[in-house]
Amino acid sequence: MIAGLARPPKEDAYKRFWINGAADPVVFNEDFGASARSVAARRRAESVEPEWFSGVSQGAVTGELKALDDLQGDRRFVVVPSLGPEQIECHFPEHMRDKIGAYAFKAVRVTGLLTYSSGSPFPMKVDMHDIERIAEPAKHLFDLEGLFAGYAKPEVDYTTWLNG
Amino acid sequence: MFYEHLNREPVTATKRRAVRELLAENKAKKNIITTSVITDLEVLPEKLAPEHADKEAAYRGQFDGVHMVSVEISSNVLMLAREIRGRYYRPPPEGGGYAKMMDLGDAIHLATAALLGVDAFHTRDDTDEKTKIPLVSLYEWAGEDRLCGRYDLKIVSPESDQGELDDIP
Repeated sequence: MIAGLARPPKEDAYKRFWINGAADPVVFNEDFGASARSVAARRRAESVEPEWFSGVSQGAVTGELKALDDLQGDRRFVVVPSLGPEQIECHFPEHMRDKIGAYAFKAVRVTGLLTYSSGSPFPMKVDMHDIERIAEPAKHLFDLEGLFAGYAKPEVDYTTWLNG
Repeated sequence: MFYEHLNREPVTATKRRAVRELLAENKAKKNIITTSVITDLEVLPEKLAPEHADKEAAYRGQFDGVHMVSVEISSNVLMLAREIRGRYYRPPPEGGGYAKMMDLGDAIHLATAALLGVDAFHTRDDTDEKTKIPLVSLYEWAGEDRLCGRYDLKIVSPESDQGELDDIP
């Protein structure tokens, strides 16, 4: 096989092709090979489900608190976000047992340890440290046009982020 | 878009009206507006006068977590943002010129929107000068119709059919 690969191509082997309507031929050379490999790699990457971060991270989730349940003693509820996952399972600490009911069916921000799995970009579970209700704004953004008028645009330099 | 509204940027009447319409719908709880938490960096003045502290509170108070949602940066947002930057990177052309690399802030905004599966991503950013990569015409620029070939994310610059009456000189 190696000998076959090392042999020069036959005189009658395909070296280029033309596309209807295009004057210039597409030549089978090193550049074409590199581009073809790049396109193939892209297609492969697109066809494979991404593997997301798997592990635990400190953070917060927001949404409506529903399905409060302690039947099995697991101090469970779910947060239903407006967007993204359908629901996120949460577990509240023992000392919140008497207080958690006040948050039922309210918009809340739950902070704690978020557990992620490789199958989803969203947290699958939250071990709650804290919870707070999120109030509606006294004045909506619609009515705040020009709130920062006159202030200079903040200069945000992201260029060094993620560049190591 | 937040900056445009909060700083009353000089834009066309049709663009201003489009933003007002979106916000009016949001006020009536008919849509959900979501943005990355990095919008705070892009919107809040660097040096806010002490007597204007209530303005920062008014801005932060917008995010009720239901109809106006600020999304934190997670490992997965960063993972996708890196992929987006790598995907759309273009080396400098032979004979000179600029390499093209997407602004990290833009990549984080796109990644956040793509992961959440929003209906539309709103931006005015469409310049391809120097190192810039346009956003509104990203797919046309890149010769594809989905973000990273995987995410159906509609990227638009909202514009209304007609302008606002108070913008007519």
